[in-house]
Amino acid sequence: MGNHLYKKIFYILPLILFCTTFFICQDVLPQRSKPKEYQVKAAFIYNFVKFIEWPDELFKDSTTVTFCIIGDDPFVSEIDTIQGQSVKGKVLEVTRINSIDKAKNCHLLFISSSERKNITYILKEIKNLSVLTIGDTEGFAQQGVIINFFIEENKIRFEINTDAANCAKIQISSKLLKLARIVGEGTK
Amino acid sequence: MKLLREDSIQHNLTRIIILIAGIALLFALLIISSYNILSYYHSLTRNLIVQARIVSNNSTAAILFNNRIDAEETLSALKTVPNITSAIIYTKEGKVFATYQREKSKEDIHQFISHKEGYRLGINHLSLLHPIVIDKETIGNIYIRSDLKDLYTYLLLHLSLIIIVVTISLFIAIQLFSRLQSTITTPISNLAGLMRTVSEDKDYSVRSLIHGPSELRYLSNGFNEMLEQIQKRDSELELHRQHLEDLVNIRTAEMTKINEQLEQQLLERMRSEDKIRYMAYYDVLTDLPNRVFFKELLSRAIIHARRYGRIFAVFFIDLDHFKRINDTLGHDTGDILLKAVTKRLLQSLRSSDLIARSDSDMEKIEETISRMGGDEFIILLPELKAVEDAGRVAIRIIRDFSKPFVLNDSREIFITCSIGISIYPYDGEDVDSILKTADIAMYHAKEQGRNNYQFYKESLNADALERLNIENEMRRALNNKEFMLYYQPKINILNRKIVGIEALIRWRHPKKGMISPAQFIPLAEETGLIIPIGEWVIRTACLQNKDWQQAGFRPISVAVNLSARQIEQEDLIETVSQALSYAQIHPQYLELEITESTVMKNPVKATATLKALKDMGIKISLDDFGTGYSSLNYLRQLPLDSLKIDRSFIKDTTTSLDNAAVIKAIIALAHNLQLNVIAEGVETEEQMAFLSEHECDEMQGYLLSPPLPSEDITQFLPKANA
Repeated sequence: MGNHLYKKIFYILPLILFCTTFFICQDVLPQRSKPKEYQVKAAFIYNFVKFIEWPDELFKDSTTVTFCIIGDDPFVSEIDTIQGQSVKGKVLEVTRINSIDKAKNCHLLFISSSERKNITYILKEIKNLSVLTIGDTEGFAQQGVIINFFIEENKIRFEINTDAANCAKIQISSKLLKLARIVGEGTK
Repeated sequence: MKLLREDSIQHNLTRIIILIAGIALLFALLIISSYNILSYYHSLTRNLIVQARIVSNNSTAAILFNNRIDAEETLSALKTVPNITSAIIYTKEGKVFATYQREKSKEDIHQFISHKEGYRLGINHLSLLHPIVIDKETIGNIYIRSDLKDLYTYLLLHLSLIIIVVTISLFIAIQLFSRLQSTITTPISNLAGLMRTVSEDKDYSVRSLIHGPSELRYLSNGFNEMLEQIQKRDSELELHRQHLEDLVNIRTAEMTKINEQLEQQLLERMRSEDKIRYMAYYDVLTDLPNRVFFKELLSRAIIHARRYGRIFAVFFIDLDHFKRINDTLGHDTGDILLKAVTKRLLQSLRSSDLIARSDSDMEKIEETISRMGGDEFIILLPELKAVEDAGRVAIRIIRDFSKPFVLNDSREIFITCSIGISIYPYDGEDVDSILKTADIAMYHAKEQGRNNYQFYKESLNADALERLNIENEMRRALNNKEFMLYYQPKINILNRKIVGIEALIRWRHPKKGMISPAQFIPLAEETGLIIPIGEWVIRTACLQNKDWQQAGFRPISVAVNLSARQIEQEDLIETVSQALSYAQIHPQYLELEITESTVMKNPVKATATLKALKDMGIKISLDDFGTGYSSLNYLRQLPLDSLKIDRSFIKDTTTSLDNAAVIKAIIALAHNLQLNVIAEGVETEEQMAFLSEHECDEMQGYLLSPPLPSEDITQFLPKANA
């Protein structure tokens, strides 16, 4: 039964991706396609954990990997698919925060595009924390977000600001880097 | 085992070495190669899994982030691994996510059926399905496929190497072995060759060289010792054989000696036996057959004479007054005299060719003299033709005894003998009676005064004596010229002219007067005296003819009669030609007259002789024609000139018609054969008229003239100028 489900998903997935890309390009994002896009992004985020090394002290006592969302939640319920999933022997926990102050315990932080105006502030606030920042807004990477999604040829891709990662003392696997478009802070 | 044939050791060894070396090499090389290939296979799988791990590790992100391009890039890194032909990344769900295929490879990737995790070895490929794991979660699989070209190349290389190495190794092994084995095989083959030489030549003096490995040295040593022993035994045998041979030779020599002695003894015995036999049959003193032997011979003569109807004579001879000689001169002289008498008796018999014998006998009984003992001798005269012949021999013996016997001391002794003659079968038909009658006849001779002979039957004595006297007188007559020739002319009936003269013999005996040829010629024929008489006749006739010719008469032919004995005489032609040349008479003036009976005795020889005479130019005429066989066949073959009609036909010509017919027939026959016809014994004018009428050519007879002495015949001879 499970196998069948997987197959169905994989058949549908290309269609979803296509539609998503179509709506983004047209700047018209149909209501129904948005959750699919974020479903993929959620999966991506979950997989990122596998290629990211946080400083060891960060997980001294923790058995959870905390994924925080700040700003308008684009994932809505899609994020539930990764909620509670184990990764690297830890449990992934999704948390929505409304203030950057509450970002101290976050390992991953999705900065919604709604926070486009506050980005500098947010990044400044978490400058000393080893938080993997993730966004899906154009220009975020250049501004200092470590991983930023973008759509290319109807496919969801991402770019990585290695400098920002270094600053955050986060090591990113070369395998991941290989897949990403590398940007620096000064590349804008 | 087929590998080990009945070949030389060398070849078998070589084969074994090659086999063992080959198997060992192959085994070693196969193990090494297997090990190598296995390790190679291991390295291949290890390499494959390493590659799979690298790829899976590197492709995790690509899978998770669904980046096909990146995944394929990762796969393309396999380009650097040459033997990997293709690779496929499958998603967790089993879908193909990314593929890699070496350009050269034409395999259809989609045909590959993914299998369980792990290796799978195909004919020409090795594949591996390896899970892609990240964070203990399998996110997909990688399938890597490698071709086995390298493995195969490696394998090929190995095999080639094995073959090359094995070949070279074997070659070296064989080379080395063939060098090294000679230390073993050469001594063996030397030994074998030596053994063959020994068995072929039987020469045990050869020895083997001692070399090679120790076993072969022992073998050679043993062989040599064996040869030595054989040689030794051989020489011993040879010595033994020599010894035996010597022994045999000695024995043979002894045997030969003994054999010779035995032969000598045998010879001596045979000699003595001969001597005994001789003594049993012969008289020791005179070497003549003794009484016993003579009786045997006599019985044989009787059987022979009985079978062939012959007569023979036995003489009983006794020396007169021999006892007196014995008494006065001694027995030794008597013995010597007996030997001399024997010798003379033998001579008398040997020269007794006067005895006319029949020639046709196959078996002949020889004349034999035997000594009966004392002074008595017996003579066997076989094959007598006439009884008188016995008397003739007796006369000869008596006459021969008239000469003195000369003894060793040149003394002369006169002795006479008395002879008694017995004739088989008249005087006795068996041995004893013959001997007895002969003995009686001998005593009769003694009574007659000794020195004479006597037949057992009295009547024979006078008759035989008369004939013997005539014979003796004929011999004397030749010497004393008592024979003379009378001549009778022959004339041509037509012209009455003389054509020839026939010479006729006459004997004017000093006491008995004229003796007719009819009386003495048959006796002369019998005794063979006809030969000298006939010779005298021819010679005399030729000389007389020559005389006439020299006296001035016209030459005419003189005819001479030939007897049968003369024609058979070997040297007749010579005698005739000598007579002619002695008298210097031409052969045409000699005519030879023969009778049919003389020719018929031996026709072939007579014809040949006559032809030879005729060829000389001598005339031949057939006398007394009509009385004999008158075989026309022979008549034609005989080289005749004329026929003489027998006087008996002429005599009765006028009275007997038969005779006249015969004469006419003879004349016709003669003329047919181109022969002259002469009539003999013509005595009357009537006879001559008859002959003339029937064309008879010539005639002779009393009508014309009787035979006349030479001086009286001249009146008939024609004058030379007539």
